[in-house]
Amino acid sequence: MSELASCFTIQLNGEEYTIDGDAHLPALLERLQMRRGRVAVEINQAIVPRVQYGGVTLKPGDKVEIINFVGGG
Amino acid sequence: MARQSILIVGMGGLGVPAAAALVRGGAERLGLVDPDPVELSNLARQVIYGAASLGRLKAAAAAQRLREARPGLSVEAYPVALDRTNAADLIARYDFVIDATDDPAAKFLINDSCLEAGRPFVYAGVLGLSGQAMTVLPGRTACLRCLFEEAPDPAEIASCREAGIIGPAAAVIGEIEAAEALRWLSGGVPELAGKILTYDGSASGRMRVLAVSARAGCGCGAARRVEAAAAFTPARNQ
Repeated sequence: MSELASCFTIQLNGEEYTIDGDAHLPALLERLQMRRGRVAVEINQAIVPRVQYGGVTLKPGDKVEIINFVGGG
Repeated sequence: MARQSILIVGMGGLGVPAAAALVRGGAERLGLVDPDPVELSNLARQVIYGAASLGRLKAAAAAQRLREARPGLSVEAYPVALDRTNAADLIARYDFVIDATDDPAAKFLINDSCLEAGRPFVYAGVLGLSGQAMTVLPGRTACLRCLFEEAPDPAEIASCREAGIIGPAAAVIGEIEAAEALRWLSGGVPELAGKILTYDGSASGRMRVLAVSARAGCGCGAARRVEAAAAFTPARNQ
């Protein structure tokens, strides 16, 4: 996957974040220790269906929002 | 049709501050759903209950306290768990629903039942010092499944019993839920319709509001509208 190894910045939950390495969305979730079964991911204001996560490669300047499901009350 | 009644599902950390705020805000008719009795551990953050409430069913104890707080208020107590057998019937009796449950599956049941009944509702969840809330207008704004698709595996969710809830987070989010309901009752559009508010009461202390769009393929009415609109968008010239 060397062709995906790269270094650039995105906006992650409103703050600048550096992608250094694998730019696939699942790699980002893994780096953040977030489980795909409990998050919603929005990229550039469009929600990404979970079945498509594996095919998403982040690009410089992407606005990424990752929302953890919170179930308590 | 006049908008005047609100169903609160769950009378715990979220439901108690939501109910109190609704009474202060002038709501006329409330329904309270909760199957559990008041336990000693509830008293710290669910301040509507006192020592005399211990062992009583939360729905009944809360209804009594709210009537005392505002005579004339109409409050119905339902000491049952919301489930597939009663959700449609209970939700149909009210104009707006507040999700204040502590169970992810119940939150998705509220989502599905409200979409089916065409009832607006506000989803919320809290954990530790954090929380979130989003209002859903069926057929108009993104639903819970647009965002999270399905209830997470229980093993993946740190429950309140394991991770705890810190009182202020539940109070903040519960009051926000009440504000959403009151906006709807007054004829307005809830502030969080089509948006999710996230509150991190820990180190960052950050509160954010994020617009969320319906997810293509979700199957809810809002998603179908978006898909239909896209289908009618003229194709660009190659």
